[in-house]
Amino acid sequence: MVACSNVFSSFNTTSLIKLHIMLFCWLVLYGFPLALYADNEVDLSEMSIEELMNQKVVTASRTEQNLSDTASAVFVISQNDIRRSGVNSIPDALRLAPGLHVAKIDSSKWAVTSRGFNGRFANNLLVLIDGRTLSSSNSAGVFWETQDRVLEDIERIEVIRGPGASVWGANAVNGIINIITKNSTDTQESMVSLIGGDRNGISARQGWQFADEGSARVYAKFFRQDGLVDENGNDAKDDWHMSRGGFRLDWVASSQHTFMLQGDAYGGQIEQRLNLPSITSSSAINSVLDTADTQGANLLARWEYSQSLASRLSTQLYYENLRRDDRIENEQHNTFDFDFQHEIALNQSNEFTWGMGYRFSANEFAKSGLVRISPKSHDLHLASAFLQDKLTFFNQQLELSLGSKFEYHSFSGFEYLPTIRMLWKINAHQRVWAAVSRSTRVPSIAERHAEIPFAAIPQIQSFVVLQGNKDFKPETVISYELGYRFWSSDRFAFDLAVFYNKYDDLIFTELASPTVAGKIPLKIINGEKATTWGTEITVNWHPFDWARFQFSGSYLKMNFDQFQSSALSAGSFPSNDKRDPEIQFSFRSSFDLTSSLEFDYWLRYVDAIPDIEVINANQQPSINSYVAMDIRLGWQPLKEFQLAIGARNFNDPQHLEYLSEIATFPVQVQRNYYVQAKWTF
Amino acid sequence: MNKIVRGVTNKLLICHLILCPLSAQALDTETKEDTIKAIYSYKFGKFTEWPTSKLNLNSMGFCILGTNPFGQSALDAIEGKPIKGKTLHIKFFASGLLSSDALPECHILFVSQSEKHRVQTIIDALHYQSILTVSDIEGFSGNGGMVTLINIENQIRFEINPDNVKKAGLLMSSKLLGLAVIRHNGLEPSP
Repeated sequence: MVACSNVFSSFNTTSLIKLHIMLFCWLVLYGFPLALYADNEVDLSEMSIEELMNQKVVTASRTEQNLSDTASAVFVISQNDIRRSGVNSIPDALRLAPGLHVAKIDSSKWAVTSRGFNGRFANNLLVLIDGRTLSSSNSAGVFWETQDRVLEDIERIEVIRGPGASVWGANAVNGIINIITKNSTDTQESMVSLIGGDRNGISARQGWQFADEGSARVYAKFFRQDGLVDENGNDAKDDWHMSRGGFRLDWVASSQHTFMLQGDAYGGQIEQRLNLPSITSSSAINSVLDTADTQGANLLARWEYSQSLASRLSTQLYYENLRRDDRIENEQHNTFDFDFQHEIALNQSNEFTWGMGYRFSANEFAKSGLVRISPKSHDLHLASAFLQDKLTFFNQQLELSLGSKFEYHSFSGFEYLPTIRMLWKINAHQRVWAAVSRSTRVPSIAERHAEIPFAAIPQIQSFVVLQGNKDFKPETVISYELGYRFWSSDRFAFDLAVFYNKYDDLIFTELASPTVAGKIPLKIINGEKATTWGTEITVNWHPFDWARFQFSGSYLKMNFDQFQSSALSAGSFPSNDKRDPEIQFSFRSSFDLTSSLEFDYWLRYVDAIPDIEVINANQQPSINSYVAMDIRLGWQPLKEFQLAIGARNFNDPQHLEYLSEIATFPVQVQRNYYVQAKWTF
Repeated sequence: MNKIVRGVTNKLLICHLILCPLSAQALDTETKEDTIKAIYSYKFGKFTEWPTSKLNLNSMGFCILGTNPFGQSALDAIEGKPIKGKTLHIKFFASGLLSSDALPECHILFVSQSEKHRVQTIIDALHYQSILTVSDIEGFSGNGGMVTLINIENQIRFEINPDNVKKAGLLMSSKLLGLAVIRHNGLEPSP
């Protein structure tokens, strides 16, 4: 194994491409005859191009649509994609979606966004799991380490790039990720799965069917994740473990009523290395080992009522509790959320959807961490309503959607979030769509009420303190989007999206006059404008039934313009720019070597982020571009048993993917090997 | 290519409907399950009589309710095909909603798997409408639907509930009923 590692560590990008071509040739030469000898049985879980294009999408407009007829930049990660990629967490699975930037900060932290503004606390993206919002305006961003399920129970992950605020509300600015778990009627068998490698763990699930009307499942999952390494290859001391359990109940009460109830609870301990500011150390940094305690629980109920063939109503209620305690923050959130939606087909060419919602959250903070919130407790209210009308013209060839959400939030007051979308079905194999939308990002509690001593200047015995501003307004965005899809028969599909976004009132800081000795205050203000544009391309090519390739690429260009520049302006922090790679590529291949043997390889290229702004690092590290190659071999000797072995970052012993905005300790991801086994019975 | 496939499938279907049970594997491998299901649904229409009040339009509607399960070759295989001296046109209702003004234009309604939990609502809403309902949802014809397509070991079979056909004011040829597994509401199919 050591020798093997040495061989691969000496690989550069060119030899990697050579290896890739070699593998390709090998598979075409040897894989093809193998495939010929394979049984005629085609794995039904593998989707053909047409099935890919006809996939159900519910996130874009909150009504069911076929993927091909969705007037948004949409991508669906299927259960099979998750399985064949060999990933072991939801955020890593998101690397499958084109245009998303997913980067690991340390073994438990991820930065995920689309179309720019990434970071540990990225909050331009709306993330949902079965209709429950994971990224709320209360705490900034998503704690990805706590978002998990038995991966086999995920039906699909819908990823929308671009805005969805007209139906989902503020913060669905640059994208939406909607994780949809399977109905419990589809998880009737018992299952146990084991993983080993950098992450060791077990998941178990049991399903039941009650007569014809009801079904349920319960699950439990535990894992322990090995830490990553620092730049010298030493253990970064960021091991963590997480336990969780949950259930889902689906009940078809009568011809018209269906109910769903689900709940989860989790708890875990996360070791982390933090570079905290220090005025006593000459380096201005106090590097500490810390343990974060995190726990949460949630309960969600949904009632769907089919009033008639032309009218469908759904009502959803959830409660969520979330706690986190470490040296950065000590917080607790309790959220109640109510949501109602009504879809009506007014006539053949007019579908009207409206809905309303109310969210209350009680947020408590202790003044013990780096992030100090004052006052300590915040009760926030969010009331909203939306309208959407979809009209079809010319024998269903042209679809026009108009709609807006109207929101009232404790922080931002009244907001309107309109959109206009159009889809033209050119012919059976081509679609063009276009959209213009306005969306906003509501300030987080931290941006309004926090005090964060994020840096220290020992020479003058002072901390530089980021100060929240009660007058900080929402950031606004106008997005222009254009898309084109083409697919032919069952072999090839092409998807292109182009966007141009105009941001206003972006977060910025200015120097405020010091009031207390030892504190240099930087006040958060609305002070920057930006324009971004970019494109995302996805190509699916299935040259043979046993070989499938997926290529995707994205380009992002961001231009910033400070409008609040004065002698006191101190730039944006966390910086708005230089947080995102300009170019990303992904190339994924799946081969069915025989009816029971699968081989997958996946290459990703992520551009450098040269001048990423970090505070409290010993030196300014730069994030270089990297190529990562994952390979996987899957074997299913029996219907009830699956085994997979694989390697992630196979080509590279270690590389840096990202850096957190605050308390940055640079941690690098490593090559790792894994084994997965799954029994169903 | 389509022509050949269509030719082969048509021949096999006719053969099947008159003579022998059809095996999906016996078909050209290019003919996928969705195409077979689409062609079946269309062929059932050929063996069905609608009341004259339902035949006052120039075309016959093949309405797909819910997420479209048919690929393009499946749709091409039936779009524009002759039926009752008119041409068949496909209409999509992807969100699973169908307004009442669309009902007169639907003659065959294919209920997609995505509507699995709403079958009863759909049936209730169609109650006195003369629309031939077809689906591959398990138990469809036992729960108020007319025809269920079933995939048994890669062979497409069908169940018909003659009571529901009759209630809707439709007439189905005895030749077709003779080839089907007959099912009554709420009961297990009789052989």
